[in-house]
Amino acid sequence: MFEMAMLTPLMVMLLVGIIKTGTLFYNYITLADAVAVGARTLATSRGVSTACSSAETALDNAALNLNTSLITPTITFPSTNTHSDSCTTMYPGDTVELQATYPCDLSIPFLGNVWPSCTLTSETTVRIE
Amino acid sequence: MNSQLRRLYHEQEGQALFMMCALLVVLLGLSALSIDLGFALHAQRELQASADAAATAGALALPYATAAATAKSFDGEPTGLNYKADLPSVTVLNGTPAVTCISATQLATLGITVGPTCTNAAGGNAVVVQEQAIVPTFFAKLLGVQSIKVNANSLVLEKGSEGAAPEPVNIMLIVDTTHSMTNGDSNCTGTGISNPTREDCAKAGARTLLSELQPCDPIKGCGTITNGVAQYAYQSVGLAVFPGLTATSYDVDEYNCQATGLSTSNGISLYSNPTTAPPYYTVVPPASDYLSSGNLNGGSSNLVKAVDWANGNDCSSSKYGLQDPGGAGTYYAGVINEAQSKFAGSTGAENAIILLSDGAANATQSDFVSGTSSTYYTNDCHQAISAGQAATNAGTLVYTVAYGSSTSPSDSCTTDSPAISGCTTMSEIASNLSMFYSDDADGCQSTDNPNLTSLNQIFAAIGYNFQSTRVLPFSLYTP
Repeated sequence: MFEMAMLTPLMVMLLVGIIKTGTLFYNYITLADAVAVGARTLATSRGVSTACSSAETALDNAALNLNTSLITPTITFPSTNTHSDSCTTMYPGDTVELQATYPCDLSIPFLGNVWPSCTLTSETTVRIE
Repeated sequence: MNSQLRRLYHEQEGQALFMMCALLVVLLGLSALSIDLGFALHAQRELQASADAAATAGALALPYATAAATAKSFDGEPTGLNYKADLPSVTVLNGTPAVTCISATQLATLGITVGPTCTNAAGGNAVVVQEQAIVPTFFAKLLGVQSIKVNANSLVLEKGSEGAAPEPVNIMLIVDTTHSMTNGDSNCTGTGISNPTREDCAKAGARTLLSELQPCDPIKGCGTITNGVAQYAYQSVGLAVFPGLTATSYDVDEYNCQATGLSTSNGISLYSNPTTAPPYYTVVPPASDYLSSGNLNGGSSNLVKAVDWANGNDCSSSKYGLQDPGGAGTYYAGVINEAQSKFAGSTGAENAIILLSDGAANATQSDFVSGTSSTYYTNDCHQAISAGQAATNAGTLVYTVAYGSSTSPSDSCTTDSPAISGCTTMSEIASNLSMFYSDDADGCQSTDNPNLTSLNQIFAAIGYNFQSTRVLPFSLYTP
């Protein structure tokens, strides 16, 4: 009984860890998928006055079960582009990168967040249509 | 001995150790499932995103032969723009990225009846990308699984298929209004006119084009419309004709039900140096008021009034829109230059010129204003080719529609040396051969679009070019 009492917390922590990492990767897959959707929206939104916000909305809508207030999207137009692109003026043939980050949430009972600095990051670079 | 075994059988100390060992194997399996499989699934999703981005970038480069190389620059390999540090082992497979051909029959299974053809410089209408990554495992190694292979496939169709999303563009439509356009065209149907002239057929084609376009921002709508220009214009269309006008004030005669007849003594100008005005070729500057609730806005759009008699316009089918009095021969290098000048200052939007003509530029000295240099009344067709190529070099997409074009230099480009036909002229003005169309009436055939021979088909196909690429089901790909 004594051994069982000693091992049970360890087993529980392991199980919780497995569940947490499972959730982590689920969030990672969801984030990658949402970023791809947002990037596609961005690529096809040239000339739309709300191009960047539309892409971010598409990203949020595709991020099912994620807390969208914790998603941090970043849109970058590489300096190697032929033109000086911006969210309001994108040029066909240039490239744009959409990156998004999301906190990992590895909180484990009694131990707290075991990796507070962990952040999920996904990015996709597309050609503007 | 028996007593020893009996004691061990009833012994309970240390049993948790055995249970733990058994459970550890189960937990290891669960960890492998949760972490290794999770990481592999994430890798697959990232790989799919890079394959889609690469195939789309390549499809955007079609019909040029550089499409595969463009796709390669966006893939997930270390040299690609979608390389990811946590996915270092990506390789492209099976000779991809590659250009492939999706047949009209295959496209029809998706409900796409008009799509891009494969007879172009790249030899196909879609780009295929297949990528593979080997994802190392963490816990599954203990169970003998060192890595997991994940694959991603993507097939993206070139622009030009019906039903895709519209993209912003500024279009200048140039319509031949020389006297040859008064000839009848018995092959032209669907104009709503029993014996249509070529001009009627050209106007019907223009109506088809306008119906395919999206004048205003898909999200915000049009906003305020001032002088035909919407606050949130999206696909703007302007109209220019040749011969041109002596003053801009005559443009109203091209869209007010032909209330006043135009002629060389009233409004129609002789030609001149192609960079000077008059003549004024533009009838309607780029406008975005041509549709209202999805229908042609004949009530207030000058652009629609120039090509249609219905929807609130007071014209009749026998008296409407553009006039074609002739009298000034054919010369269209100037109108191409003027159309290109309408794009000055446009930022972000794609610019396109669509030229409809038989291509037979044959204006001579008497068709030009007095004092014009002979440079301009000779080699009329070659001048038009140079103007078209200059527009292409400035980034404009130049589409040409050869309408009743001749393949014989002697009855088309009569001022040119070396000899060239109207048909060849029209094909060389286009930015590439995929942007050259012909109704094939006089043996002038488009090599890249041989099956599109009615103006309605041609203008619909051109309209689809201002729409996005499409990601196709990979099952359509046959290596």
